[in-house]
Amino acid sequence: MAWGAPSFLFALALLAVPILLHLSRRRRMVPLPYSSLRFLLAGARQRNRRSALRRLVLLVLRCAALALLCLFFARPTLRTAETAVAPELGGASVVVVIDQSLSMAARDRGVVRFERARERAAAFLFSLRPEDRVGLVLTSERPNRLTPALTTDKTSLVRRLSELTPLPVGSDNHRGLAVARDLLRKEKRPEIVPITDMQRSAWDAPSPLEGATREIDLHILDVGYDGTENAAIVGLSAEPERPAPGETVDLRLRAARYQAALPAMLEVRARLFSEFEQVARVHLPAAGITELPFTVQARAVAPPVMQFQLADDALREDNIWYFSLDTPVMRPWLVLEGDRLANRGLGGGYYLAAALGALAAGRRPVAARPPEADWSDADLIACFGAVRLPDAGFRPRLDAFLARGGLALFFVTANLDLDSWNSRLLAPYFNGRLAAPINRPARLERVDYAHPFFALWTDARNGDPLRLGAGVAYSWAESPRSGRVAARLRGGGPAIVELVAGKGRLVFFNFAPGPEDRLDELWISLLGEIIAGAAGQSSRPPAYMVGEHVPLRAEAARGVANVMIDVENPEGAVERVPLTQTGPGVFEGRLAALRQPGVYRATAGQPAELLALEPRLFCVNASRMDSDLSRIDPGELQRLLAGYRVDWIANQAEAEAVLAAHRRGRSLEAVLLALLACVWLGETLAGVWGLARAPKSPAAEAGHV
Amino acid sequence: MRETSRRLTSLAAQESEGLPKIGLRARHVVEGFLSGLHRGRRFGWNMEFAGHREYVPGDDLRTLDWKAFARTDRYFIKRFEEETSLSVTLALDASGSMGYASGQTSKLGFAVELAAALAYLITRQKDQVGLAWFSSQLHGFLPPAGALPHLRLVWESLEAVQAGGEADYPANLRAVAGGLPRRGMLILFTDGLTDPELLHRGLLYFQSRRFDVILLRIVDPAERDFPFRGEYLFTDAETGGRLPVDATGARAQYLSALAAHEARLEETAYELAADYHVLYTDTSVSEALFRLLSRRRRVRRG
Repeated sequence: MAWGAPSFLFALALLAVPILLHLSRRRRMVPLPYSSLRFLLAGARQRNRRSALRRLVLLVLRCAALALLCLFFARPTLRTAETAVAPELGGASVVVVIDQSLSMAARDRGVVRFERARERAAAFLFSLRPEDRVGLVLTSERPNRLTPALTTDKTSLVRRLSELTPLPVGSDNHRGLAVARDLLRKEKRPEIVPITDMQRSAWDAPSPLEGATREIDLHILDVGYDGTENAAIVGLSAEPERPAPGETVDLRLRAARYQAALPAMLEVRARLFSEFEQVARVHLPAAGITELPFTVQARAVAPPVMQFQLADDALREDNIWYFSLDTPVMRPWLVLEGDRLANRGLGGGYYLAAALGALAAGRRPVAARPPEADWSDADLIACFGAVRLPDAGFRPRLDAFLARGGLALFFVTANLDLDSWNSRLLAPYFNGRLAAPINRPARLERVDYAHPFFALWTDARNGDPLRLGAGVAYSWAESPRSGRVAARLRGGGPAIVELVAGKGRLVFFNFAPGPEDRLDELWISLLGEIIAGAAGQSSRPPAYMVGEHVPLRAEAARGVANVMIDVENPEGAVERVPLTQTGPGVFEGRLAALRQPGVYRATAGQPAELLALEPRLFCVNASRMDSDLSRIDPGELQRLLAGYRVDWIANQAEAEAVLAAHRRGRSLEAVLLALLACVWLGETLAGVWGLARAPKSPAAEAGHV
Repeated sequence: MRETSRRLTSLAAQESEGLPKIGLRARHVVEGFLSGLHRGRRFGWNMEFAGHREYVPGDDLRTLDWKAFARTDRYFIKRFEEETSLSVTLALDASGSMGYASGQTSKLGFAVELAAALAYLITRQKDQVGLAWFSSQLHGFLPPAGALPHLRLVWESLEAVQAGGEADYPANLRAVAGGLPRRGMLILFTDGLTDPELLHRGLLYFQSRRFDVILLRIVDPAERDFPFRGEYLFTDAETGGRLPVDATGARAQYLSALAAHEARLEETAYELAADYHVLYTDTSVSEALFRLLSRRRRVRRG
């Protein structure tokens, strides 16, 4: 028998309480004068014996309940023959390595990966025997050894785990494993349990394991997709990388399967948005990676984004991969719109016109072409006076433009990804980092995981905060060694990023729509407000998170007693909100916690005209975060970790199996709980027994006792 | 009768200040009781119908039973026992158990109140009333008499009665019976918490002398219902003995033993041809008096 928390055994001293109560109660029997004992003498001895027995049974039951509760908290474990470890080996030595990179802040199926990692780590630690020794290593840019040496105190480790959060940096898991190996250097039975989301970038660095002579058991707990993913596209390459217009491009899609239970044939769809679609039935072998060939033709005016999708009913997760062709003849404009102005399906020209019109005329578009119309450069210049920079000399012109205090607008409908076409075009302005101001190194100061849209960037030189607009969708972290993006969190909905660059400003409007998506008028209005705000014409519309309250304030003419505000939600429904008068002509109120992310508009309801109303437009952001970097496939990982015996645990069921395998004994907690339930039942029955024997008409009792 | 009533009223008017409290209460009870009755009805113990005999010339025709004549076509004369003054002795069990009270009134207190009212009623009917009270010994005995000063003495004695000790029925009832000169009526106030056999032996002295015996068992409602719950140290009021009892568990057995005891008491009364009445102390004295006399009248008619 072993105890998980033996200190709770001291609580057994509490058993004295019911015993003392029992003894004192016997002495405290109330005397009751009565006319005659004549009718009580019959069977008195037998009754008293039964009563004493009942009291004794109750005492035993109560003591048993208390004892079982203490034992339950002490977490006893019964060692069986097969789980007992040979005495000469002693306890196991385990180091848990937890990935603390930014991508662990992503949320899959409503659960943040780091939370899941913490839960699995705690479950694993509690499953060990008391004599098992454990260490804890956090891996991010640099490995962090939480325990200087191995310890048997799992409780304090779990407590320290609860204080940790992901860091806004990448991770190098190889270095974390090296630290773990160092901790286990002199141990007889070493084991390492990495808990990670299996992002490829964490394994990019060369493995320092070369030369390792001993084998270590490595149980990788994958918390990336909660183990439900069973096949995925893991990469895509093009040949040639920069095709000329009209040139044929060979694309090689790399797909991997993780579970043998899948059907051998899976369907892959390649789609260039709505322009063409190829469907292929492909054979994925049981393990490893399969390369799938596709052929496309490079276009002069790029539709830069291609979509590949693993589409099969047997898949547990949708798996979509976006790819951009880098065609040199595609011309970037100062006003960049990812797909092109003429994309009717996305209505690109419309919202661009609306936004530019808002900038030019204050709030409202002064002109707008019908959505189906194409927009030429001449149209832009004629309607809005917008500047279009030609491809040649793009960078110096943009620099000069910003130096004069210009406002550069970037409309991007693909991912704001360093690998994407427009990002690569702009990369020199961000010193390799996308979300940093031009010509200024920037530093990601803090990521508020509860409010991911409000990541704080500061100017690396003077520490000035860099303003980000409502709906910032991305947080980034770089790999410490390769310099590549190591983690990228993507929030839902359109994003607007505003950056200060010298005297000028850049506003990114990022929207990754599906083929049928359109920006609605509210978003266009919001964009107009932000542009106007950037131009110094108005204040920025406030942004809130789902679940927050939104304060409303209005000023009305004197004599107005009641003010009602109409709030239009993203679906167009209008809710009327009454305000309370807080001063002469001043009315205040608030919207209850909003559930639906999107843009809201407030207008005067009653009276129809108000002197002031704030805010008239506001955003409500969802807090969902995804990570959209690629995952490393198990075959590749096995090669990288050739010095270990790797046991990759992809899903919860497998994790449970591993935990059970590590459980060095049979927990008695369930048995104790069952016994506790029995005791409770017994005490209840004893109570019912007492009640059943109670007088049938106890009304007169009050006068006597 | 009217004279007695008048004198009693006069007594009340003249001496109400010096009258024992129990006397005032008894008078109040009886006057209230009688004022509620029809004027023509008369309660008492000395209206005895003796039977019929054949008519012989010279008999008073007013006593002729015409109904019997209609049934049998023969003449019968109704005969009544000679009306004489009745001698009623009130005997109180003043043992310790009679002092028990779960509420406001003890059994002894209830018995004293009822006895005082009966004494007043009997005196008012021009009969004689006596009083005896006892526990382990005979504490006091007033032979029956009909004078009003005697009634006052009875009341004063009743006020002085105290509960205590164990009841010795055979010895004390024998002493009372020995002190009574002629046959009459005995009304015994007791809670009956004794061996019925002892009670039987005591009452036999009266039966052998052809006394009309009425056994009034005074019962406290707690004795009847046993409403206690939980564990108590029960203390006997007579012996002082103590017994730890789980009242919850003992109730059923208690009620069963009580029912058996009451059956034996009824059987004893039946064997002695005595009237047996059970009165509860949670009823009023006037109500108890009404029930007692009503039932007594039914018994006489039946």
